[in-house]
Formats: sequence, C-alpha cells, structure tokens
Amino acid sequence: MLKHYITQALRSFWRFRVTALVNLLGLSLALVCFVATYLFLDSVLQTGDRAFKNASRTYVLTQELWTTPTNRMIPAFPQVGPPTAKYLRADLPALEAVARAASLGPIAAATDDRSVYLDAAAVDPDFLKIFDLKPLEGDLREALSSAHSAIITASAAMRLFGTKQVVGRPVLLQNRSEVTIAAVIDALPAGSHMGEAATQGMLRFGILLPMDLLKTFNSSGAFGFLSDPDSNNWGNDVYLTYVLLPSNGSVTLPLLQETLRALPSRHIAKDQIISVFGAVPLVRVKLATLEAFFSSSHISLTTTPFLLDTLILIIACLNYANLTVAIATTRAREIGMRKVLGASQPHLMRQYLVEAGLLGGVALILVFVGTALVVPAVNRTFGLEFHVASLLQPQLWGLVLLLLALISLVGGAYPALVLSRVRPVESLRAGTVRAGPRFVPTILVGVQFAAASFLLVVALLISAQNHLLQRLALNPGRDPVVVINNDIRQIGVSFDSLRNELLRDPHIKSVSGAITPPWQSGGSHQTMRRSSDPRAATMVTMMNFVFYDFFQTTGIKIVAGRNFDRQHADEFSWDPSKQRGAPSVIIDRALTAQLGWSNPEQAVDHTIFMASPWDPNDPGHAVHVIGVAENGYPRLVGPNADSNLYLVTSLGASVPYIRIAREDIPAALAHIDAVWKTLVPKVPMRRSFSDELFNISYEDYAAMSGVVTGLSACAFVIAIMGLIGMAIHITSRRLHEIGIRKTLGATARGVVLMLLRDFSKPVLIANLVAWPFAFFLGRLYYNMFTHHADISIWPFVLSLAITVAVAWLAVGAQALRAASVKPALVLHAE
Amino acid sequence: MITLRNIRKDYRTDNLETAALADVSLQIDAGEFVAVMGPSGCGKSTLLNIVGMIDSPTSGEYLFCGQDVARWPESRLVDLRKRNLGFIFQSFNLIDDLTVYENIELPLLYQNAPRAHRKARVREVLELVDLLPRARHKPAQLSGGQQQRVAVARAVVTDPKLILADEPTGNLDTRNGEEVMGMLDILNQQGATILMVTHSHEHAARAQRIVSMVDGRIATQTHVTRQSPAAEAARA
Repeated sequence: MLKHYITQALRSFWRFRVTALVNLLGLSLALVCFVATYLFLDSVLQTGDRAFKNASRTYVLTQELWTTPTNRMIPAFPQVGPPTAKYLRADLPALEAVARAASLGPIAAATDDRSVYLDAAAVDPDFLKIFDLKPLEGDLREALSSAHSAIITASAAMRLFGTKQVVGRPVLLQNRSEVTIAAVIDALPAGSHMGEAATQGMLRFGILLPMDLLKTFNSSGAFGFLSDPDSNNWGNDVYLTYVLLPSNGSVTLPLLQETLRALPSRHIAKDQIISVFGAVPLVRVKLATLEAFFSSSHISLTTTPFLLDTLILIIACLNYANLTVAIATTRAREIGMRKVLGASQPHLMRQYLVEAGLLGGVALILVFVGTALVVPAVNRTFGLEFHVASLLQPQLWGLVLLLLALISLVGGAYPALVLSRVRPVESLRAGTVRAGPRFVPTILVGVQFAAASFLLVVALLISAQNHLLQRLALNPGRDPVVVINNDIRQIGVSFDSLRNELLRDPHIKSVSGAITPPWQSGGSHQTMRRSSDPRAATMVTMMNFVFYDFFQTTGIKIVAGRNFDRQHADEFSWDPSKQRGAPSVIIDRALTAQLGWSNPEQAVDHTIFMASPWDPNDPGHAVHVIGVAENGYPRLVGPNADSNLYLVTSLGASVPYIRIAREDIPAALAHIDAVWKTLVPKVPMRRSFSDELFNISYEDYAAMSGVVTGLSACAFVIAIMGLIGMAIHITSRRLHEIGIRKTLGATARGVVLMLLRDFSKPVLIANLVAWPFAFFLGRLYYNMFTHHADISIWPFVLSLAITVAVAWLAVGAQALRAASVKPALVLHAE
Repeated sequence: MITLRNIRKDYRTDNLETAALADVSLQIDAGEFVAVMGPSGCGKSTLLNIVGMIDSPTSGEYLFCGQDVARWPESRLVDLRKRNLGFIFQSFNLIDDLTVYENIELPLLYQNAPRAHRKARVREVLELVDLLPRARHKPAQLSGGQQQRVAVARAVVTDPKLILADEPTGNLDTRNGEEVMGMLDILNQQGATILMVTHSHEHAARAQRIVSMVDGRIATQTHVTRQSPAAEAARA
C-alpha cells in the first residue's frame, strides 16, 4: 500500500506541479530561515569556549545593579565589581579557582625597532588554572608571577617582534611600563569569547598581563572605567570573573548560586549600590552579554529570532494546508470513488500524510542545498564566518527533521481530516466539494498576510531607527570628527600640548576629548534627583566625562544656558578640597524633561542632585546646571538610560576628539599625523573617523535589522506564493460563475475588479490585525537605544500599500485570465 | 439478498425539502438482473446509491444479506461495500493518475489482498475485458468504451455479490454500449446479481425484471421471460 501512496503522491505532484512547487518553495524557504537563524545564534553562542578542558565546570559571574529594591539600573552583565572575587574565595574556599580578567583595549607596545597596538587584558594568576592555554614557548606555570611579566600570543609576537621566539624579551607598554615576555601561547580556540578574534565587549587580547600591573596603569587614570583592582568599589562592574568548580563535586552550581545570593548581605555596606549576583556557564558568556544589552527592551536574542522563524513556519504550514485542500476539492470525485471502492478514513489520511511527508523530504534536500548556497552571501552581508561544515551538526538536522515531521502532520492532517469526511455520493454527484467551512481558506490566507504584514512593519520600523542612528552619526554635511583612539593620559601626552599644536593648522577647527571613544555601548550610570529629599523621584542618566570644547567639537548644540569654559573653571574634581562650590554640569534635553522641566531654559541655574537611592538618608551630591544641550551623545545603547549629563574632568582629556575642515580632509589628517609623530614618536597613533567607530558598533544592530528584513521578505514571498496558488484554484472554480456573469452582461474589467476586491478583503483585515502587535514590538526595539525615532504612521500605511499592491499583482494575472474566459466554453463544458 | 422496506430519502436545503424516494419497497434475489427505469428525477439513481450504501435513507429498512444496514455508520459501510459490492458509473469514474492496471487493482489494495493474489486477479479480469495490452495506459489514453470496460473490470475484480451499474452505457455509442451489456450478461450468467439504472428500453430488456419509477415511487415491476440460471436456482 505504501508504494501506492508514493506513486499516487508523485503523480499528483506532477499533475498539480505549480501548487506543488509553491508548497515546496514555501516550506524550504521557511526551513532555510530556521537553519540560518540557528547557525547565526550558534555563532553568537561562541561554542569555541567548549574546547577548554574545564569548560563544563567554569562559570562567569554576573552582577545586576539596583538603585532601589524595585528599580534595576543595570541588568545582569557577566562582569562584576573588583572585590567580588576576593569575597567569593573567602566564602567558598573549596572553589578550585577564582580569577578576574579585565580588558584594557588596545595599548601601545614597542620594542627597539617596532611599535604596534596590541589588545591587552590583565588577569589574576588563577586565570591560567582555569583556562588551559597552549604554550608554544616558555612556562605558563610561572608566567604571570611577576608584576612585569607578560604572555603573548604567537600572532601578536609575530606582529611585534617578527618571530615567535620571544621569551625573555622586553616590551614597552603605553610608553612607560616595561614587561618581559614569559611565554608565548598558541591561538585561542576559534569562536571563543577570548583571544585576538574575540568581539568587542569580550576578552580580546594579544597580550596577557598580571592584574597587579593594572594598578600601574590605573594610578595615572586607567583607560575607560577600570578602577583599582584592589578597591571595594562594587559598582565598577567591569571585571570578567571566572569560577572553576572543583572536580570532586564539593561545590555545586546551586551552592555557588546560593553563596552569590548571600554575598551582598555579608560584604556590601548598606551605603553602596544594591547588587545581585549570579553565574552563567562559560559557554554562554557572549550570549549573556548581548541578552543584557537587549534586556531593557525585553527582547531576547535567542527567543525573538526563533519566534520570528516560527511565524514563518506557521505561514508555510498554513499555505500548505490551504493549497492542499484547494487541490483536493478538485479531486473530490477521485476521493469519492476511492471511498466507494473501499478506502476508509485512515486510508485517505495516510494518503495525504504520505504526500506531505514526501514533499517534506524533498524540502529537506532543498534546505540543505539552499543553506549551503546562502552561507557565503550571509557571511558577506553580516560579516560572519559560518562554514558550510557547520551545517553538518546532527542536532541541527534532528531539529529540522522534527519540524518537517510536525509540518507534514499539521499541514497534511487538516486536509486529510476534512476530506476523509466527505460523503461519497456528494462528491460523485457534484464533482467538486467544499471541504471544511467556507471561511477557513480566507482565514488561512488572512493569517499568512497578518504575519507577513507584522514582519514588514517591524522591518520598516527597525529601518527607520537605523536611519536615524546613521543620520546622527554619519552626517555628510558636517565637518568630520577624528578620534585618536589612544588614552593619551596613559602614554604621557599632555592634552593641552596636543591641542595647541593641532590648532596651529587652519584645517583643525576644534579639539576636545572624552573618557571613551564615541559610539560605545554602555557607560557610567548615575541616579539623579531634582531635590535633596531622599524620597523624591529619581531617574537614571548616563554620566559623561568630557573636556572643554566637547560640544563644539562634536556638533551637539547648547540650547539653553552656557557651555563649559575655562574662565568659569568648570572642571570637576573628585578631590573635595579642590572643588569650589557645586560642580558645573550640562544636561541634555531628555534629562531636562525627565527632571520635570517643560523647556530647557527652566533648568538653567538650578541645582540637581546625584543620588544614591539605596541609602535612605542620602541627601545626594549637589551639582549646578549651567546649560542644556541637544540630545545626541554618540552612544548606541545605554542600557536603561536614554539621557545624558556632562561633566568636565581631567579624565575627559583621555581620548582626543578633533573636528576637521571637510574641505581638505587629507591636509587635516596629515597635520594630525605630523603632530602626533612629533609628540609621541614611539607610539603609533590609532585614529578613526567617528563614523567608522559608529559602523563598528552598529554592526550587530545592522545584522539584526538585516535578519528581520530578510525574514520579512521570506514571509512575504511565502504568503504571496500561497495567495497565487489560492488564486489559481479559486478562479478556476469560479469559471462557471464568471461565464454566467459575462453572459448576463458583466465586463472583463468588472469581473477583474470583483475578483481583486474579494482577494483584497483578507489582506486588509490582516493588516489591521497585525498593526498593534507590530507597534508593540517596534516600541520594545526602540526603547533599547539612547536615541530613538518616533513611531509614525508611515510604516503602517506603507505596509498596507505594499501588501495590497503585491496581492493585486499576484492575483491580477489569474483574475485577468479568468475574466477573459469565453462564456460558451465554460458553460458548454458544464 | 436485498430487501428494502418503506425506504424514504429526503433532501433538505435551507428553504426546501424534497422527497427523492417515498415509501419504496423492493426485494432483489441473488443472481437476479434487475433494471430500474424512469424519467429524469424519478429517484432511480438515489435508489441505486442507497442500495450501494454510498447514501443512507432518511427512514425505512434496508436488509443486505439479512443485516439491517440502514443506520450503519460510514466506517462499517465501507467495509461491507468493499467486500460485497462493485460499481459501474455512467462517467466511468476512473482515477486519472492511475494506470489501467492500478485502477483495477485499487479495490484489492483496500482489502489488503496479498500481492500475488492481486497480480493474478487483475490479470484475469484484464483478460476478461480484453484489455491486457493496455494495462499500463492511463484512462486519458483510452476510448470511452475502453474506459467503461476498465470500470467493469474494477467492479468485478473483488468478485462482489452485487454489481451496481448507474447508466453504464449512457456515455457510449451503440457498439460500445452493446459490448458493455454483453459483459454484464456474462457476469449475470456466471451468478452475479446486477442492479442497473438505465434510460434504454433495449438494454433494460436484457434484465430479468424491470422496475419502473415515477416521482420517487415504484410504479410497476415487470418480469421479463428470460431468467438466469442462478436466479432460477435462487427462486427455487
């Protein structure tokens, strides 16, 4: 009997080959989306960390920061404050190892004849116990025992020395600290969260330094936000802290988590920010970071793409069911005859399930081939590095097979169930039969279009947000801003000297600085209050340490009050003896509104307070608002804060920002290069345009935008193919009716309009149903960003116009053909 | 073999109720060849459908081999149908995607007959209807007469107790019609019970009994002089 089912299925596919092709392509496309998403997330999961010997026992600590018991300021990033490791070791001495690692970013490394930039990280000694790095030269056991030793990767050694035999050789770091190479290690596992290929925000390094050396850098003001590794600053959550559970099982994960939960009550003073600690497995550390960034919008990086894929699979499944029923109703006489000849309901159901299964099998082959073909394009578009070999994961294909089986069951079961109930006498008499309620095909088409419309609106909203970000960052009408990505304080360059030399050239318009380069995500969060009353409402803002002339250099307008200036000695000092009166701050428009002022002028000359709301008696630290700036600090994602407060401090003179004349960019760059070479000949300069840094930070969001747009396009294609298939069948079934209408005087145009109207109704309703969901998801996405667009009506209107236009195009050809039929032919055949 | 008592069949739409059969009682003995005649809309095809268990009566009794099947569910009827009945339709109702061989084989497949038996039996009936060379052809490649012969072969392949023919010659020319009637004669002579609906008096005259229907009722029943040996034995 199986042979009969298969034979019948193949012949049926050939007879209704257009519909079979539509179903096949729809299913395959949906599954390709699923496989691509799986591979994309697999790369995000950085499964390279599995290669470490102790990976299964290694966890990374996370820390959430709360300003009050009900207000979470920072979600659970896998980075914690510096004292966490020390206290955890004390509380759980049975842990096999606890080690911190701090990313220092690129630092200048020089030998006698060469100087390059190497990504550096500082680590505790236990780091080498946790991670089995592969030594090529030297002894790892003692490699970081001295504060002035270092471990270098083989490729970094080649860049710096031109050889891998470098044990015992000195390197000058940041123009002032000398270290000696103690060991050379092989490359880290591909896809690991650490190493030279690690992505931004992870532990990228070409050279590993002892944690003690960090104090040397830190004493002059560390790069970024790193505080002294020995400090008790729980809020400085920038240390990756690894924990290795003992192999004898004496410390389990639940025990570790319990100890972490109790850590704050045991060790954190009540006047410090509220912390909540947790742990994630090593292999999920990058995912945990990305999830934390997106957590303010409640968008999960793992769940959301798969939800979108599920939507597309549902569309494909509904397509399949709808079209199969449509075909089957034209096979009604055959079905009736089979029942007359003795086919039972199970026989007929098996027939349709076999057809669905066969189609699914062909789809599986197409999916494999299709994904292999798509991988290079995906890599190029999103800057990823999938390998076709990654398609051979058994768990992936197990999932795909399961999905196919489900789709076959669901997609084949509905038609099978409905048609097996058809009474033979009805089908033999009429030749066709209505299978199931009349509204079901319309609803199925409507659901498909609702899903497609939802995805289209979301894609348009994301695109609008991305355009806004690009407009903010990449304004070709403005003078470009060049960023020198060196911490000049660490390499001993005087900001004033640099500034003065740069400004000698007329191509240099303005020089300022900030503590970090532009377009980083994250930063220093600060809780603010309008009054000193600890019970007053608070809001969280981003605190930005900048230098004089920051606003004119970056092009952010001051809209009320005044700018920072040297005459007013606006520089903020952490040393109270040096600080006269309340420090001067500039706030942006968003913070002005959050503090309750309806226009910026009202905020000027007022005092506001930096608060520690976890301390109920804290009156706050008063600051004086001297001006209000336009929104637009160059940051992508807070998280959890979309306003800004600016302070001028010496830390702001760390990373120079230089505004140059757009009329002669090469001349300006040449002058900058020349000045640098004069001031710091031994340290190569890392300069970038601000928009280049934007593009690097923006990659992930561009990728997400691309993913959603791609999924929308796929959903659309599937829905349209389904509509075409339905149009073919419905119009052929209505030929008799059309013949009669034309006999009675209807014109071809009138018939076309009638058919188009009928097909448009489910599309229109689908849009209305989809809009609220799309609006909700769009808002969640927008809330992630420091700068976000307003949700306008245009994406919704555009989605409606596109879906209706595409539906008309898809159906139009069929409608025209049906309307052109000669009545005599149709009525005579009847 | 077949007893119908007070069979009624009504068709209901939203606004209208039509009695297709009204109070029909009929008995058919094993081995009989019965023809049903009447004007269009008199209920003869409805009668055939009810006897063939592909439609169910609104009321009344239908005894098939002593069992009252009038209220049986479809699942039980399917089983009874495939073991005992064979159908021949005016429009042949062959399955276009299947070859001649496969069309004839289909009832045996639904009975889960072993492969060897299916092969032998299909070959046998193909020879009976003289279509063995066309076994691999599709219905679209055959003439009307050939298609109906395939339908006849399909109807008899399971060796049914009763063959139901609904205007089997209606779409055929005279020569082909004669051929099909000849086959029915042979089958009846071999012992098959046949109930045939026809518009043709000439073809009806080949039966042993002619049942005339008007407006959903049996008007007359006329016995024709010719008896099949099997019918005679049954009467005895």
